[in-house]
Amino acid sequence: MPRAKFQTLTEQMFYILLCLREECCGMDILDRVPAMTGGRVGVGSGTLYNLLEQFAQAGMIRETRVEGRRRSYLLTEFGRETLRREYARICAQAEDYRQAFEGGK
Amino acid sequence: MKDRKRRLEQFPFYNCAGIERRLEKMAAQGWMLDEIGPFFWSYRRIEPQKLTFSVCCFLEASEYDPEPSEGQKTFYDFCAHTGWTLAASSAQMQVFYNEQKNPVPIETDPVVSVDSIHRMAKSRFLPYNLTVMAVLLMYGWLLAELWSSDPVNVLADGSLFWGGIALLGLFAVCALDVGRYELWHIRAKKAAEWGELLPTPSCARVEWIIRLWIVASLTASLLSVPGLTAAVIGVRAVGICAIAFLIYSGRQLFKRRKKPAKTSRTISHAACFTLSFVVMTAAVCLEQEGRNRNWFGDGCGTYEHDGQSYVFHQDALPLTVEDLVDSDYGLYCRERQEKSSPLAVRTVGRQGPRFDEEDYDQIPSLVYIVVRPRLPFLSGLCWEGQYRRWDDQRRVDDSHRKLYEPMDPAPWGAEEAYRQLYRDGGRSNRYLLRYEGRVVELVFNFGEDGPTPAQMAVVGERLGS
Repeated sequence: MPRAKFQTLTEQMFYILLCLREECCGMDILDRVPAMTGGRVGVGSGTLYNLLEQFAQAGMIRETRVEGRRRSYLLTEFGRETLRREYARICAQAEDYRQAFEGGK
Repeated sequence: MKDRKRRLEQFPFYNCAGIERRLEKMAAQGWMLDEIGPFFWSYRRIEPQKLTFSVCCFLEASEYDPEPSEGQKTFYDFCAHTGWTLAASSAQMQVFYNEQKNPVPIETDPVVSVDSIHRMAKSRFLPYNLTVMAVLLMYGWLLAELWSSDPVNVLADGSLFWGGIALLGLFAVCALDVGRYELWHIRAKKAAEWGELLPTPSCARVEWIIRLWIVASLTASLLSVPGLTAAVIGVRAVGICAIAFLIYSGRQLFKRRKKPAKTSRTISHAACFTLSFVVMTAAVCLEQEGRNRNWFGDGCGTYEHDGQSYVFHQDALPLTVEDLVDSDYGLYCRERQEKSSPLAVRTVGRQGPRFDEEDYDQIPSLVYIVVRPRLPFLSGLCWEGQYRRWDDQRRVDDSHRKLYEPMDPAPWGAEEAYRQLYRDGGRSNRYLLRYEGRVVELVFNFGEDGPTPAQMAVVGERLGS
């Protein structure tokens, strides 16, 4: 069954929102995500552009500053809540893993 | 050495992987994509190099935009930041290349990527293909209507037969495209949930075969119509191509002059509608004028009557009025028309006086139709079709159908013979004869008691074998 939009986040979505806990623009995100993940995750420019639009439409981020074509964004309370929910889901998964392999020792 | 070249590239819009592979191969051979045209793509010469290409869509873009929007420029900035340079774009399709080894792809999230491809499909590809399919289905319905009223005429019409095959091919291309896309979209959405971007499918070989099929059938269709009709179709085709070229050139001009997209779109649509109307009207006038003036040597002259122009024919006929009765009328018009397809041949012979004759109705005249099915199993259908033709064309209900009475076929040398009755029970001078491998329908305006056995024998000899 297809999941509802943003009910769970893909890795790219998660890291973009994570970057936006503090104000930054699109190009900052392109640099910060690989730096944050040690190069494990890279966000494509097309993916970033589309996601910023979709996040803004969904009210998960808001535009804070426009300097020419350079637009900065910041996480909204709803975005923060979505991110928190995703974190809880990942933690639950990690806990389930721990229970399965370490709890059974 | 040429520095530019054009290639005919036909990719479905969602076959990004196929386009990328082609462009990478071209770059390795020293050709860089420069411009995406409606049919041809232009390449410029570069040093052969290994480049990575990426094809993606920018939904807000349109072919009428005089220049990229702010959002599009922002998108280009993002791409440039990760090493992607714009090679060319056409409306929503954007083609980038990257000189780095293993660059971060432009689309890294399969869910977002599939979603943006699908939004582009919904905005253009699906409406266009579904509209074409609906128009073709409508044409099929018209053909079925024609078939139900006069199947023999449809069966023996080469242009309808080959045109139908061409349109079936076009329908197959659209249905294949839509079906393949929908299948890919369903599977790609599922795969994206698991973090995989499903490669887009390619059926290039099948598509080329169907395209060749369409071109061959259209050529056969054009060759199977008389000169005047072929010329009119040719004028329409050239007119449509000219309109497409004018609209495209106009759009490019508006873009160069930085006219707003809305102005460019409105003018293009208005011009398209007006010019199409002009071309179609011109083709109809041309056909009428060509017929009136006998441009294509259809007959051997023309004459005027009641303000109308008529073509005078002197074709050789297998059966003439003079074969059956004595007639001293010297200005007969003898016309022979033949339609043929790989399924049947339908010949119409007509001999009658000119319309400007004072005692037009009193001069003996003759009309006949000979139908020859080319395949044995169509004999029954041709007979039945010809038998029911008059009733079906007049939408007669079943209670009034039995309008032919059987008669002795022997004098005609036929297998079956029928004479048509009027509604009041009187006998008409219309006959339907069945010979081996052919059906003959015959109408005289002479001999109220019907033809004599000698005349029947002449008909059988001339038309029955």
